[in-house]
Amino acid sequence: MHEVSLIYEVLLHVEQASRQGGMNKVTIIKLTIGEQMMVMPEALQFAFDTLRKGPAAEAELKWEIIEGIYFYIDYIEGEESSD
Amino acid sequence: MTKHIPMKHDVLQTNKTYAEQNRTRFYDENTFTINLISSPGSGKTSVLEKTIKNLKTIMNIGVIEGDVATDLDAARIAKHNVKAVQINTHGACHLDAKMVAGVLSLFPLKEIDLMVIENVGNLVCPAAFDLGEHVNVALLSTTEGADKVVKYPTVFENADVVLLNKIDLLPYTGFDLKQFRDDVHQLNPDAPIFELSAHSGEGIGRWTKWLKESWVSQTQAKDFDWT
Repeated sequence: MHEVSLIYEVLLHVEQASRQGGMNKVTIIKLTIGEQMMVMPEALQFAFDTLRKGPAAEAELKWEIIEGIYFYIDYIEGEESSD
Repeated sequence: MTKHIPMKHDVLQTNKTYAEQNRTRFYDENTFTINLISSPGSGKTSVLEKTIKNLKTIMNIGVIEGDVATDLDAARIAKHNVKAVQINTHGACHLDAKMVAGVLSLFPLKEIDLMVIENVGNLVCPAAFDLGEHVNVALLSTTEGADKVVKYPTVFENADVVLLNKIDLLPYTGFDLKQFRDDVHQLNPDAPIFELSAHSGEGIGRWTKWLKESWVSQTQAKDFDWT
């Protein structure tokens, strides 16, 4: 259930990074997750679907599972602001 | 146009920053801190009550109680005349370092030798959140079954010490003590195991002796293992 706290943090940082990077719509958020974080992908997706907002409202969430206790936002992809 | 922004952002960084601040505060004030993690109903509060009884004549103890909705545990602890502060997580399944930082000012930390943080009853989520403690304590009880060690490995792997409660019920639970010891040892060869019963009091002395010695060696010598 800590998936909700983690997704909340992810959205904060994605919003900040997209604004600073001049991206008005985020299409992909890629995470790297350590297996020992005991994160359930379904719960992660559910939390994301519930909390998604702002520039990341329509983004697709992708993740890669690795060994260890990690939870990184790898990169984001999206469309550049036209102005 | 599609744009790619590499982030490599550690989502746990906010928590780690607060945890480091807490750790520095505990270090500066000579407050030895333990983070007690277990599933609901394993007897965290009962073990804590017995621990307090044994140690309160030689140490000033403070307790931070993490609970999803009530202050029942804090009320139980306060009866022992130690300062207890409740953190109500309002549904969240774990304590994080920021919540702990938020209540530290309610304690006279300088006067507190041992701070016990009783985490929310949960064997999964609390394992991912460092609170700034010196010692991680994982507690299991014989009524839960020995298989919980391998089913929730992160908690037992990260523990500095492992407690097994309710050993007075061993004859009735079919708990496989050998499997438990073997699995803990395999995941975490360095963690001492204390088998005890908060109900009968058996084994509590060995655990509190270890706690007292850890406090003496770590706090008074200020020779912390900061990893």
